[in-house]
Amino acid sequence: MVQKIKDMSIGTRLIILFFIITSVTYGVNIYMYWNINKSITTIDYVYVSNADLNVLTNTLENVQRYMYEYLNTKSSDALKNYYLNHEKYNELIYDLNETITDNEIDLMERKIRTMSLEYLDLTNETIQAKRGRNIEKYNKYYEEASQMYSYISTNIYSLNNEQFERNSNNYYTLLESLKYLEIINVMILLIVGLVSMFLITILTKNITKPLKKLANSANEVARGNFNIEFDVPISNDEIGIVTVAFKKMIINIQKYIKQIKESMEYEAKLKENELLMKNLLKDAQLKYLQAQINPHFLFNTLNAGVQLAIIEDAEQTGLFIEKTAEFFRYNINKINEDSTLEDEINLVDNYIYIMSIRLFQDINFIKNVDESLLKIRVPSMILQPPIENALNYGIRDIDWEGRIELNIYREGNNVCISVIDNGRGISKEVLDDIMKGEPKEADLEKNSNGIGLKNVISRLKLYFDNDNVLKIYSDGEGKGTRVTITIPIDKYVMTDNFT
Amino acid sequence: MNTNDIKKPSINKRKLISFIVFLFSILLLFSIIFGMNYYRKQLIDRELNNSQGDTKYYSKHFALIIENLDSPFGESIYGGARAKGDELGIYVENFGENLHFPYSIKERLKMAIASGVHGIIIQANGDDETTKYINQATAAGIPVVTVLEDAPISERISFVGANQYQLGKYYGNQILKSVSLLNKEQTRVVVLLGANEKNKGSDIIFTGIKDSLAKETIELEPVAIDRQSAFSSEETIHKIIMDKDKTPDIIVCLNQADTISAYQTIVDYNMVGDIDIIGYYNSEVIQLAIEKNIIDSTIVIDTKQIGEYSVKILDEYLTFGMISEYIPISIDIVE
Repeated sequence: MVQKIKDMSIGTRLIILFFIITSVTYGVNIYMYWNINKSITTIDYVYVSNADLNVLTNTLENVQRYMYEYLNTKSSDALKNYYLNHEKYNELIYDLNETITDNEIDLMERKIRTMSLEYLDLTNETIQAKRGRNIEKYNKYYEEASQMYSYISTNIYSLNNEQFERNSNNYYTLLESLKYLEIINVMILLIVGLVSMFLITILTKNITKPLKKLANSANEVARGNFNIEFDVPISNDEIGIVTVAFKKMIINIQKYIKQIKESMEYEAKLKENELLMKNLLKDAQLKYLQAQINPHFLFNTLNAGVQLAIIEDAEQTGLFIEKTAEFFRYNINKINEDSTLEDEINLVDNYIYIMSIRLFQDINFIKNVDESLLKIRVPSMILQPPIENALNYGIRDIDWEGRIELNIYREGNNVCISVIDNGRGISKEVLDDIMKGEPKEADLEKNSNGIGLKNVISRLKLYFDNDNVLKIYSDGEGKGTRVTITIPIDKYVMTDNFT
Repeated sequence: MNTNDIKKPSINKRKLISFIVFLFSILLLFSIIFGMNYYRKQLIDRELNNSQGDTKYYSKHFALIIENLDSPFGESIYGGARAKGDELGIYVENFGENLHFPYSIKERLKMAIASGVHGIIIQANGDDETTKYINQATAAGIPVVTVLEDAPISERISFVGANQYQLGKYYGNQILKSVSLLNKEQTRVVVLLGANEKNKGSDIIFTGIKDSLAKETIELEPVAIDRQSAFSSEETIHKIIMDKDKTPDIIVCLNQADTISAYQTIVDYNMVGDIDIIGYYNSEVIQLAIEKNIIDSTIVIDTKQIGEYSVKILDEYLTFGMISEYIPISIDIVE
C-alpha cells in the first residue's frame, strides 16, 4: 500500500490528499449539521405537549362558554358553536391516555378524560333540559357541569404545569447536550485539522526532502566532489526520474574525467620518454663530438695507411687497416640513426677481426644467426658493446680457452639476441647493480667507441618502453656470462623488406 | 562507544516517537469525543426517557384522600397503601397531590368519583356532606373505605383505624403519668380537638380521656381548632399559651400537625419544662423532641398498616363482595 502510494506521481498524490481532506471536512460538516439539526428538532418538540393542552383548554372553555350563552340567550349561534366545540373536545379527549399507569401524566390524562366524558354528558343534559324548558333541572345540571368544568380546568392546568416542568427539564437537558455536541464538534474539527496538517506535512516533506538532498548533491558536484554518497531514495515519481538522471550524469562525468586523466597521463609519459631519449642522444652526440676529431683524422690516416699497404703489397696490413677504418666509419655514420641487425653483425665481425689482430690470438667467436631476421631495424650500436664486454671482462686473461657466442633467433613474435661467453662471469652483487643501472665499474661506460653497456641498456629501455629488453645472467664468478636482448618484431622494428 | 549514539536518538527513532505521540493525541481526542458523546446520550436517555420511565400498567385505580397528604404521617399511610397496591396490581393515587390548588377532602372525594376510580380510601370527618358523597360513590359502584376517622352512618364498606375510645384511654393514661410527675394540686390539661366536626372521632377520643381522668382533680378543657382555615393550629396554640391566667400544664394533641405546632410554639416562647406535650404520631421531628424531653410522650398508630389494610380490604371487597366492617390498628406509646 505504502509502496503503491510512493509509486504515484507527486501530482496524483497531491490531488488524492486534497480530495481526501476536502471529503473528510465536508463529511464532518454534514455530520455536525445533521447532529445539531436533530438536537434542535428535538428541542422544538419539547413544548408540543403544552401546546396541545392549551388547545384542549381553549376548546373546553368554548364548550362551557357557548353552553352558558345558550342558556342565557338561547341563540342558535351559541347552540351551533356549542355543538362544534362539543364535538371537537370529544375528539381531543379521545387522544388522551385511558390506561392506569404509575406515570403521573398518564394518570392525570385518564382522569381528565373520564371527567370530561361525564362533563360532556352533563352539558348535553343541561342543553336538553333548557330545550325542554325544565328550569329546575337545567339549573341543577348547569351547576354540576360548572363544578365539573372547574375540576377539569384545575386538572388540565395542573397537568400543563407538570408537563411544563418536565419539558423545561428536558429543554435544559437538551440544551446541555447541545453544549456537549458543540464541544464534540469543535474537537472533531480539531482532529480533522490536525490529521490534515499531519498528512500535508508528511507529503510536503516527502516531496521537498529528496529535492533538498538532490540540491545538496548538486552543490557537492559543483564544488568538484564527485564521490558523493547518494542516499536519495529512488521513487517512481518526478523526483525519482530527476534523481536517476542526475545519478547517470555524475557517473558519466566521472567516467569521462577518468578517461581524460588517463590519456593525459599517457601523453605526459610519452613526452617524458622523448625528452629522456633526446638527453641520451645529446649525451652520445657530445661524446661523439669530443671524439670526432680523432676518428676523422684517424679515418683519413687509416685510408692513407691502406693505400701505403697496397703499394707495399702488404695485404694483411691493408686489410687490417681497412677493417679498422670501416669500424670507425660505422661509428661516425650510424650514431645518430637506427640500424639493421645485419649492419650490427658486420660491425661485430670487424671488431672481432681487429681485436684478434690486436691481441695476436684467434678469438673463438661463434655466430648462429637466423638469416631471415637480418633486416630487422634496431637502435644502432647495441651488439658491439656486449661483445666488447664479453671480450674485455669475460674471456681475456683466463686460464681456459675463451669462447664468445652470438645467437640471433626468433621466439614467437620476438627476436632473441644472446651474447654468451664462458669467461670470468659476474658476481651476483655486481650483476644486481648493473641491472639497476648503477654499474660501479667505469669500464661499462668507457668502451672502445665511447658507448658503454649502460648506454645500451638505457636506450633499449626507452626505445622499446620495456625494462626487460636486455638481461644479463651469470651463475657466478668463473661461470661465464649471458646477455640477452629481446626485441618484439611487430612493434617497431620492421624494415621495408622484412615480412 | 560514542556517547552521542546513546543520547541522541536516530532520526528514524525520533520520527517513530513523534508519530506515536501524534497517534496517542488523536486517540485521546477520539476517546474524549466518544466519552462525551456517550455521556450526552446517557444524559438524554436518563433525563428524557426516565421522565417517562418504565411505565407500569395497573388494572385498578384507587384514590387515597386524607388530610395533610404530604406530611410524614400522610406519606407513611400512602407508602403502605402504594406498596400493597403494587403487590395487587392496583395503582393507589395520593389524590390531590398533583393538583396545583389545595382541595378539601369533600371536593377531592367528588373529583375522585368523577374520575371514575375503582375504589376510594378516605379520612372521613363524619359530617353530612361527606356522608352524602360517600353514599353517592357507593351508588356509582365505587366502594369507600374510611381510615383514621370514620363516617359510621355512611355506606362505607369498612373502617380501618384505631378504636377511638381506646385511643382516648391511652391518652388518659399518659396524662395521669405526667400529672403524677408534676406534683401539683390543680393540673390544667388542654385537649386540641377539631372544630365544626360533627364527628365524632375526636369526641370519642375526648370521652375516652375524660373517662380515664374521672376520679382525678384535673381541669380538662377541650379546645376546638378550625381545620377549614389555614394556619389555625399554630394560632390557636399561641393563644392558649399566651393566656397568662389559664396557661395549661399539659397540651394533648390528637394529630401530627398539632403536635409539631405545639412543640414549636413552646420552644419559641421558651416554655420548655413549663408545659408538657402529649403528642400524636412519631415522625423524625417528634422523635427528636421526645429525645430532648420537649414532648413528653406520643401516641403512635401503625400508619403503614392502615394504608396496607385499606387497600387489601377494598381489593377483597371488589373480588369477594364481603368484608369485615372494622379493621382495628394497634396503638403504641413512645416516651
